[in-house]
Amino acid sequence: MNFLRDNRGQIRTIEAIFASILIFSSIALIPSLKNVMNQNDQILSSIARNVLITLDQDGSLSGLIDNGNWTGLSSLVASLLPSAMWFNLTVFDENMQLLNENQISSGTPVSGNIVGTDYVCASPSQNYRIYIVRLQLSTVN
Amino acid sequence: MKGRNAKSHNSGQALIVASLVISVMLLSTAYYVYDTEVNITTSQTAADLSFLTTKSSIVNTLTSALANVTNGGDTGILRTDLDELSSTIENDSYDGILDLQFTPLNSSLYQNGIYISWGSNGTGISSAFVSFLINFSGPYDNSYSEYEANVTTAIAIESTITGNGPEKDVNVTCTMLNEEDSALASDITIYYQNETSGPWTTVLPSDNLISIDYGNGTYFMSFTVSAQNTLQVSAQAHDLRNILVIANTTSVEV
Repeated sequence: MNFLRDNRGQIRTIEAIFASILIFSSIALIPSLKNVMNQNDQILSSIARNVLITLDQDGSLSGLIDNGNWTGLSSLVASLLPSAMWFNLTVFDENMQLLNENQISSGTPVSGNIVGTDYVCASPSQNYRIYIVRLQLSTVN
Repeated sequence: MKGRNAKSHNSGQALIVASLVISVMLLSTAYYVYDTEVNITTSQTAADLSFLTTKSSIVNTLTSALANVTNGGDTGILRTDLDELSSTIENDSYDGILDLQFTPLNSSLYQNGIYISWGSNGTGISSAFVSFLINFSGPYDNSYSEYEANVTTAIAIESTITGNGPEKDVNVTCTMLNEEDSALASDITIYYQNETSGPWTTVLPSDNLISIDYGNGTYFMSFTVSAQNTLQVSAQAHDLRNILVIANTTSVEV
């Protein structure tokens, strides 16, 4: 009888250990899960920023905006993004007045989270202008 | 028997406590490593991103101001444009508080960030230089960085003159540079001066002007003029950024 009681005790102990491990594992996983949820937004934001920096480095971003070449700008942005990614580009002047009369977008319906990045772009032309370019991205399901 | 039972109960408890301690230590160590990695990543990103997202705009602002000044604009335009840029970037920073401060270079060469040397030694320089600091305070990180930006267009000309009679053949070689790298010119106009302090005359196609563009920033021009044994030659050129640069040299008979 004593031996049986000891066995029950050990089983309870093992259960307690497993329960403790489970609780601590859950606590440890909470920040990781949170990170996984934010990671997608961070990736989209990073892609948007890199696209705008790349376009600005060779002067094509300000050049196309200076000339109001929205079709060219749309093609260029699309060429730098994966095909399964929705984008919408909006150009403002420094007073946040909308400059692009036509929508610059990939046009595909969006389902999912939209992440936007603002980028300040200065024109190198003699007629100095400052633009605020907003690029919104989303993955297409 | 009671003593042995108590001992085995105690050793069981010690085992549980030890297991829990080990579990807690492992988990806390893992969490510490994870947390440190996140902090390091955020720290590197904040400083680098602030620079990356502002660098092109600052260089473009210098380019615009230099093009403006070299084509007859006021030198104060650089300060005005930089203030405008700084204000826009600071107001558009949603990830944190961004403080962008510019200091146009003032030195023996540069005045208010602008240096223009269009001398008669065969070299012409148009340059803009600014130091700037980026102070970023975000929810996860603060960063402070100092940088410099420079836009320089330079031209070097060499000229020779040949011919025995009053008609002289003049050869001019121009080399255009942007930030010390070879660069293309959008236009080059050659002038010559027959007498010291005399009028400058534009070389026209009617002067048998021949131009060769080597495509690497080097341009060769040849023309014929009535001249003495020495001739002052001037090249006025715009680079593809519309920055004007002028260089004069004395063309010596060979």
